[in-house]
Amino acid sequence: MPFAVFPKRTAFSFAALLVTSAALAGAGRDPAVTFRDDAFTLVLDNGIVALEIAKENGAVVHFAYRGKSLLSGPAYLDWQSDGNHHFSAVRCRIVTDPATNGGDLAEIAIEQSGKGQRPAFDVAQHFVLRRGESGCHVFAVFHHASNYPAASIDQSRWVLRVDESVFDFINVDDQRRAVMPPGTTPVRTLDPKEAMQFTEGPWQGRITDKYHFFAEAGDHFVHGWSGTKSNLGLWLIDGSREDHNGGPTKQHNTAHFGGVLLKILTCVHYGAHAVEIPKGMEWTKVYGPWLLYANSGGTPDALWADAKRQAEEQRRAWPFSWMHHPHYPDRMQRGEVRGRITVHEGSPAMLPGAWVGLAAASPDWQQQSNGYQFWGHMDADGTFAIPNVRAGTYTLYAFAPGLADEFRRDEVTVAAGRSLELGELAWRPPHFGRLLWQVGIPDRTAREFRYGDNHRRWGLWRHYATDFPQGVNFRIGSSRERTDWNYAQVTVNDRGQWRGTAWDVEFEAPDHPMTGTATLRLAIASAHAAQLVVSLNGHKLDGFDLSTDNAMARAGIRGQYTLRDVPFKASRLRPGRNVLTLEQQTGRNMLPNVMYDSLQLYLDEQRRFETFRDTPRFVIGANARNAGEDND
Amino acid sequence: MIKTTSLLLSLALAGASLSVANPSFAAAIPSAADTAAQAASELDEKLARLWADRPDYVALLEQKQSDRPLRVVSTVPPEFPKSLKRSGKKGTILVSFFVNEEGRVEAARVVDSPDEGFNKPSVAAVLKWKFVPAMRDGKAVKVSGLVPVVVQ
Repeated sequence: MPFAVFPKRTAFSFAALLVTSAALAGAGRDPAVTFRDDAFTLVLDNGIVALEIAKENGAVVHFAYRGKSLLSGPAYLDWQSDGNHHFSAVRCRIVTDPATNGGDLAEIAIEQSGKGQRPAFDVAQHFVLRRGESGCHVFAVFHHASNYPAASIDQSRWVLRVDESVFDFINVDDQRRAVMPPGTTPVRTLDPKEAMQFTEGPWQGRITDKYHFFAEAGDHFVHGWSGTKSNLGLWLIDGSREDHNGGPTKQHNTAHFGGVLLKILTCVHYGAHAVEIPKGMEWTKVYGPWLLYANSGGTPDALWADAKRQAEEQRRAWPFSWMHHPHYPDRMQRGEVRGRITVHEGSPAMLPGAWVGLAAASPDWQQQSNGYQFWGHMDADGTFAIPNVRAGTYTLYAFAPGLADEFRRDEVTVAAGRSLELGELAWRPPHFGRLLWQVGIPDRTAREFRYGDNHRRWGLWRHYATDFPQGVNFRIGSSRERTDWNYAQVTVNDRGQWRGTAWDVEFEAPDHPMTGTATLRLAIASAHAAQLVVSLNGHKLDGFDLSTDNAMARAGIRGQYTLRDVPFKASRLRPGRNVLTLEQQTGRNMLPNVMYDSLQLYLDEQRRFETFRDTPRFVIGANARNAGEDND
Repeated sequence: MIKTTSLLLSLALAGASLSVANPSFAAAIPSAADTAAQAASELDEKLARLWADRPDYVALLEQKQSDRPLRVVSTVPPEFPKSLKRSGKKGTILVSFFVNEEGRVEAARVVDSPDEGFNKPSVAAVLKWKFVPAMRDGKAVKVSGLVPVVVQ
């Protein structure tokens, strides 16, 4: 229970008024930005924050806010590309000397050429300090020349460690804010090893795990640390999510036990794909700029509120007018896409949480890491506007709670400085006839099932054996999702042997012999090493190998979303009682599982059944393939 | 179970630039005395004994705080033998070291340790760490450092 130590705030604290937001101070009164090239470091200072960057490896070896040092060790950029890499032989360059602009802005770059060797990327990290700002902007540029060998990046991060004598309170989002035990608190590792249990002190017995602090990228713009005694805060703030891989449902690391504070540039966790650049491709991607922001005064609540305000400010200012890089288009070099998506034969209104975005045409946007994606929410009537899109041709995607499918429209070309009005776009989900029953809500998560509303906890998978000693036997009409359907179809340990499990759904079909086509829509929120066989009344309908995203072990409630349609002859339905069986066949260990998003069974007595080869069985999700073909 | 990570090391590094008499270090000494001042004094004596054969280092131990303390540029975690990892031994290895005007660690010794097996790998690791040297009166100077390597 890592979040048991919540401070109780029942009244607005006067201290909230005292939060210092230096950025609000009049620019005219703020000291000039200075730059100094020491023998060993480059030093930037604007009178509010100061940072020193080691010339040897580009690490930030000192970051101070109003003279107070905030980090416990060097902050560094790393990237996993055929091994883990840090800057080693760097070139330091002053891009903008504040002496040339009256002390308004300084920019320095740390650069390292891959020279086509391992790692085959040129990497640069830039630091921009502006007058009057209580923080430093940072961005990274990865470049692959066309004559470099094929190369990939699994993960890239900027890693900071805050000084735990200053910071003791972690802030991930509104729900996840708490005092954290010091990093020296004794722990024992659990399985998976990222989970640790405190063995001494007031936190004894509690568990912490970095995956409990992951956040979905779409609406996440700020996280950080604050100090209950120091009244200081240190935050990482994104002005945009355009650089993130995997779209708005991708979960990224934020901060965790040990005073760790992270800016994730790209990451394959939860089944996402690496950046993959083939030989011959010229590729450049700008990550950021993000803001390392410091504030002071007030309670952790007040510091958090101020950090969120600062995040709003950064989002409004995006794309930043002060930013000058050939691969970072300014506002005039970007365009906007507007329109309204109306759903036909579905729910008349967009439910909260409906997303619309622009990404490449393929692969599935969940699997895209090379380029930029631009996502936003739709209004209840489906109206949307996506601003600040880099000029180019994209596919427009949309997905919404209540709908298992997703909308797509290809060849949407965004021109610089133009607003593209797409007008009314009709989203026509495929029609499968009459809905006989549904389990769960199509929302790409298993949140509505048992434990799904409180899933960032270690070991939830272990409850299954006692909660469901006979397995899941879900009766349509009387069973309830919250209690009678586990959040994941896990493996069980049967006398030392791990084995998969079979779940039944019992339902009543119409009381007459049926003709035509029935379709089972299987929406899957996550799966790991799973082989799923679907049977009806003991007869196999289909089988799949499902994607591997490890979301369950990583305390997620979603990973890679996939949608499968299983059409079958309606004559296989018995009049009256039927049993649909979902058997996950992989044993091996505790990891294989399926997290269902929703199941829907449709019946179309008019539609002639056609073999699956003529029917799209695989609708969403790029990395799944069929395991068995037992249909007729 | 032994678990020494770069994370723990970097936590420990928070103190690497502090004075040896800083009370925060007192807590890292296994034989912690009743008061921080007592512990600091005990530590001073230990360090003086440890480097008794190097009067130049003893002199550095007694020097006043520099204008700009050491800044850590990079660290390497110690690699402990598997047998030690399996033994389940844990604790804090306190390493005293000296950083020269180039930011390189030129000497390191163990002050306190729960098991001798931890000593050699801890020293070997610390010798590879790099720093921005401390500055005094505008010049890089050689200074002492102290780091607790926490094994848990």
